[in-house]
Amino acid sequence: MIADHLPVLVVVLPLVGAVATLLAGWADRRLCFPIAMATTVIQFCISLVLLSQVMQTGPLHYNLGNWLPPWGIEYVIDQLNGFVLAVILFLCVLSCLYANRSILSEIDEKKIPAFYTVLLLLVTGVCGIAVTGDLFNLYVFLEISSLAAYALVAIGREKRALISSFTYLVMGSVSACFILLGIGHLYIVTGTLNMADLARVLPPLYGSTVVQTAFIFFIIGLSIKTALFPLHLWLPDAYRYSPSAVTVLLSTIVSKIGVYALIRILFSVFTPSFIIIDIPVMEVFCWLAAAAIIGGSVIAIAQTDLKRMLAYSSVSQMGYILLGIGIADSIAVTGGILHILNHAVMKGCLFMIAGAFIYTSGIRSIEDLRGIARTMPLTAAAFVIAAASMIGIPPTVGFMSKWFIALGALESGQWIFVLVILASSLLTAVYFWKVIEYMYFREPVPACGEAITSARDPPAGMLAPILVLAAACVLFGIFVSIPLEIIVPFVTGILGGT
Amino acid sequence: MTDVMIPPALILIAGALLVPFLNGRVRKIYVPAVSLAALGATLLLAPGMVCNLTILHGYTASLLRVDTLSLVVGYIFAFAGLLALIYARDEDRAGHQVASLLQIGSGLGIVFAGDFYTLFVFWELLAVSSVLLIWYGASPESRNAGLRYILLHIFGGGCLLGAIVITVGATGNYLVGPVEPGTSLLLLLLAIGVNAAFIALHVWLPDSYPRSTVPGAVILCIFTTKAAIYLLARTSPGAEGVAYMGGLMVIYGVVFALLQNDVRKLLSYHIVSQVGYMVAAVGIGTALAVNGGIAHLFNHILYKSLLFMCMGAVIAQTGRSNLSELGGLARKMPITLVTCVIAAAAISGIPGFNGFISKGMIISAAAEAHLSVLEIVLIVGSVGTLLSFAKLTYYAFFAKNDGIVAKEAPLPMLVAMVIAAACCILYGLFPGLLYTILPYPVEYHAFGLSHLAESALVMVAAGIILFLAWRLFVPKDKNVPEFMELYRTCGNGFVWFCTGPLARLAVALTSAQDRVIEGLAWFVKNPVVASQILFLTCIEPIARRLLPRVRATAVTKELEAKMEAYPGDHELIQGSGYGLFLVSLLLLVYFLIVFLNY
Repeated sequence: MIADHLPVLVVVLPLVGAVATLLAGWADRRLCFPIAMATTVIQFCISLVLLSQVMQTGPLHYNLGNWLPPWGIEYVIDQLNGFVLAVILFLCVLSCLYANRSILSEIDEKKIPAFYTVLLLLVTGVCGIAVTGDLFNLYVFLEISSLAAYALVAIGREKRALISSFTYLVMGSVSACFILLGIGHLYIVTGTLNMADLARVLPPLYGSTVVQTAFIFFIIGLSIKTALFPLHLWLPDAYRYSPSAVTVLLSTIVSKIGVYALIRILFSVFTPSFIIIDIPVMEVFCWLAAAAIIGGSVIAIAQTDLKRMLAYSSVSQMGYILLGIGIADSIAVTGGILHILNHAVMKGCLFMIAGAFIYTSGIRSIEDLRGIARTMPLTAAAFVIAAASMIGIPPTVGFMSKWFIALGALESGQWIFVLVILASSLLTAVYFWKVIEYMYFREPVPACGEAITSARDPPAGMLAPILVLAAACVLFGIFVSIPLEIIVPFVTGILGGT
Repeated sequence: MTDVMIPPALILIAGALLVPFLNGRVRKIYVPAVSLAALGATLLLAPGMVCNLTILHGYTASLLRVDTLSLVVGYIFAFAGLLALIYARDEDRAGHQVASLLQIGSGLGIVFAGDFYTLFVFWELLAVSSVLLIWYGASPESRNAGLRYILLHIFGGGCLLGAIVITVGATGNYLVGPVEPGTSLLLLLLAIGVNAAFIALHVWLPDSYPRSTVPGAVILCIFTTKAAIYLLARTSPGAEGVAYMGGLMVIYGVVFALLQNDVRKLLSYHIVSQVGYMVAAVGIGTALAVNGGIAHLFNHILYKSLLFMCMGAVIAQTGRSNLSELGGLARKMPITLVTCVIAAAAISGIPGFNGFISKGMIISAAAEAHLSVLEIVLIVGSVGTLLSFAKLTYYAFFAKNDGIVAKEAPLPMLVAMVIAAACCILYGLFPGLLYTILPYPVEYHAFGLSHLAESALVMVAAGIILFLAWRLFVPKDKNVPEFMELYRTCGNGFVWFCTGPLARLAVALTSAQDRVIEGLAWFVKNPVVASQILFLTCIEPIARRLLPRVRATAVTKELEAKMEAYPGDHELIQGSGYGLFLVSLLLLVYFLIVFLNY
């Protein structure tokens, strides 16, 4: 009985959890973390069950309130969102675990219940986006997750967190506007909001300017959400000034769900033939993604602040995902979707490490990290593994997805993107090597000497997620067939081929 | 009828691999014994025999494919190899012996190879073992000559492989056989050209053979060029251009031989010249010509290895290799003198010696094919040959030189020399012995009147020239400019270009690139503020001219303040304003793209 309602439970559970956290927080702040943790863990288990069901029996359909689509809201889970859901909730569990200790040093104690409440609301929104099969419902959840994200960015102690949160809010709202406009346009010409239904009705209307305009609105709106260069300006500050646990959430969950929404709209609402043949927008999109890959890397090199460097690196890495999707070749899309997992794992790990440095020594600047590998050996080692994966050294995960994207680019004859990927790998090596060099091969500067020598590997609650993710960087690289088994059927379904 | 036989090449190569495990005294017997076994195996071969070895699925290496052409070349290779090893009995360095056996083995391997890939492997092995023999010369010159040898033969081997791949790709047939004209033939001719010392590709030969060891040179002079001639006869007989190249080689080799002072260098240029006869013969391509070419190959190996043996003996006994320093050896080394004169007579084509019977065939073939220019060239080459061997014999053995101390060569050397000399005379007197084993039926009378007259003419001409211009032939120690000098100049020029101008250019580019990177690094530290600074820098001079003083100073001050504060490391990026602008811009771009398209 309960098993039939799993698709909705995965959304409702965190919503209930959020309220519970808020109420419990009044009584005792220490109750918040266990509730949030339990919620995410249960959700993660549910997502795994859902994924295995999808893999066995094919897509699951759930009609909310038993209203039949296209009138009612339908939740659909196929390989893609089953995969994305599992990845996101996996990172949620680890972030939540990590947040327990790390936020103590970064936000006021009285804000802790609010933090967990908003965190669960964020999870609600994100999971909602992932499972829904209804376009307007998607917008609603997008707004829920965005509002929660603005609040989480603003929760830090620093004054500038407020400003960066405001910037984020403005850009996020613009993005939401465009998405809503896109949905509106589609509704005007088709009269339906159900994605599957839209996919049926739309093809004859592809010549219509309204549909094309809607498509452009979607692209613009989601470009802002996914921080596609040059619309990434909100991202560095938001990542830099939010508490580390929030940065982890933003970089692993919020950005990835934007990509998911993009894939959904590109391939499930519209068809590959439309985005490739009928409308020449994707070419620009790919070039922007290539610009993001190079530009993000170049700007990252110039950064002195570790978290900001990682943020620009995110801009570059999101470029990879979007490039893979934009090329719209089956191999490249496989690589792009695989990179969703990979980037979540790698960047989650790196941001957690940056947070660990702040937690144990208070150091944010790369140059002050000199010699920290001696006092925080495990953390530094995890950093090296994750950095190797970012650069794309085999057998790490980063290599596999870059390989697929490059292969897809070659397959579709766009070898220039292969050069872009190669060049960016070199640039990535430059800025990560700088950090590694400072951590391992330099003597501490006098000003930070004490902070460095007194630093220790963070407490188990923070170290465990870091090490799990670092291990995942290697394990998923070696056992890359596991995620591929999930992704390839989906890609084959939408694009054909292997 | 197909019989399976052990390829002689494998006997030699397997034998070579065992050499390092034996001690010096055993090896002295063992090495010639292996060669003798190989000669025996070769003599047992009969047309039609095979030895196939399936190496990969779908590829069968054909190590043995015997027909009349390969058989005659195989006989002389195996026999001359044995003689050379007898001669080399006192050279007991294990590596030298291994290289010698490998050299003979790969030569026989090439001759009997049935498919192109097997041939290529042996071809490369031949080059490798040659380099070893050159390096055993153990002087800085021999090391450098060996390096140059490698460079050219890697080029040649690459060409051969390219030709093979193209041929196999085009026809699917990898058996050694005629090659279709086209790129593959061109590459094949380049590969053969390197090994057969076509002019301009011949530089390795006079460069390296004189720098090898004494017995090494004897072994080297047998195989490399002749294997190439064999391959030429096998794959592309009858190309007129090749025939003229042969003529050019004849003249070029003789002229340069005449100018040499170092005895082995003189002999090396004579290889070029004599191989030219064979190239010309194969290039003419008629049955008579190919017969003549192969017969000449057979004879040439006999007398040329004999010449190298004699000169090697002279060098070994006196320690001198320049004609200007030699002389007066007639009394001291009589057997060497006699064998040397026999070989000289043979190479000069004097009736009664074996050179006569094959050279005549080639000249007749040229006449029959109405290639009169070539015919004349070949005859003129004979005159030059006679002259240069008159010079060699005179200055090595008869010129007055009292200061020289030497005694007769050791027994193994003498044995080899005498056998070779005996063969020269044997085949010279009884050409039928040779004619019966040639690839095509022979209807040629070696001692025909016209041929004898021709020979007499050559001798008279040489005599007249000697009488009139003997001063020209006095050996002088001078450096004759050669293609190698040109190549070395080009090589040095290239190195100079790389280290000089190119390096300076690289430095200039690097510094320019550094400046760009610095600028870029400056810019990306805070792109927004950097753009503002750039913008202000541009408008500041305009503002100073056009705007009222107060506003202009405000602009200047703002610029200064911004530059002062740059990069404003922790300053916030004021994303929203620019962000909205960029959103609008991008929207415009997308709309333009989509709607201008329709």
